[in-house]
Amino acid sequence: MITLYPNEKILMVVHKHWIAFFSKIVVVAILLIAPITFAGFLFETGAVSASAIVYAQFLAITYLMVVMLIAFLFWMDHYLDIWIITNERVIDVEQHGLFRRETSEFGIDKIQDITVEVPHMVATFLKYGNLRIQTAGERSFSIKEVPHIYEVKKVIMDQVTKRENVGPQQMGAN
Amino acid sequence: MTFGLALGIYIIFLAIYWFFVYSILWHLREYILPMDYSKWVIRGFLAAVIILNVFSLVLFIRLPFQT
Repeated sequence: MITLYPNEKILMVVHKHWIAFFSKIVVVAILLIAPITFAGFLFETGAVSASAIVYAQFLAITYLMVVMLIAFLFWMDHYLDIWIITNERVIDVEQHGLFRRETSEFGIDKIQDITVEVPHMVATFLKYGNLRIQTAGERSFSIKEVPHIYEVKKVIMDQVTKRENVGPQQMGAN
Repeated sequence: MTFGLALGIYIIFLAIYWFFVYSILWHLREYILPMDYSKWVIRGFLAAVIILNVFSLVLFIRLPFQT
């Protein structure tokens, strides 16, 4: 659970662009379409007994339950991969599968440089890109496939500028 | 396959299945952000899973087992 400091406000929550989720949607679509095609072929080839139909229905429903679960797992993985930008810090949450999760954060005052990269033509058209933040520590943070990348950069840079102008004590009090 | 064996396998399947469903819901409940679309996705998923589970149970009971 992410707990905010007193006077801390969430300015923006950034999820990955839907294109990052697209390959997983394709996987789920294939998982759904493949057995339908296979079943159609099977039922065309010969007479099927009534008991076989009940078995097939049961297996189909069970299979659909599993595919639903996989789809939801994919969605959860996508949904919980977030950057939370507040007026105090940036929180980077990365979900790896169901049970592994990494949360790291850095103060706005530690930010030294922000690099925006729009890697290719598709990214240009769909308006997403990669954002890399260099902090005062040795580590740099990056998030890939961010939508509205310049807006995200602006929100962070505004906070950096405010902090530089006002100073950390006054920022906390506001 | 006898009814007893099939029932055993089916119960194990449902137990594993609902363990995963519960794990996902736990994660979401723990880390969800207020005021976004996610609660509707979760409700939709839960409704679909419950409906499919009921269908699955009904079809399981209707399966012709060896006696």
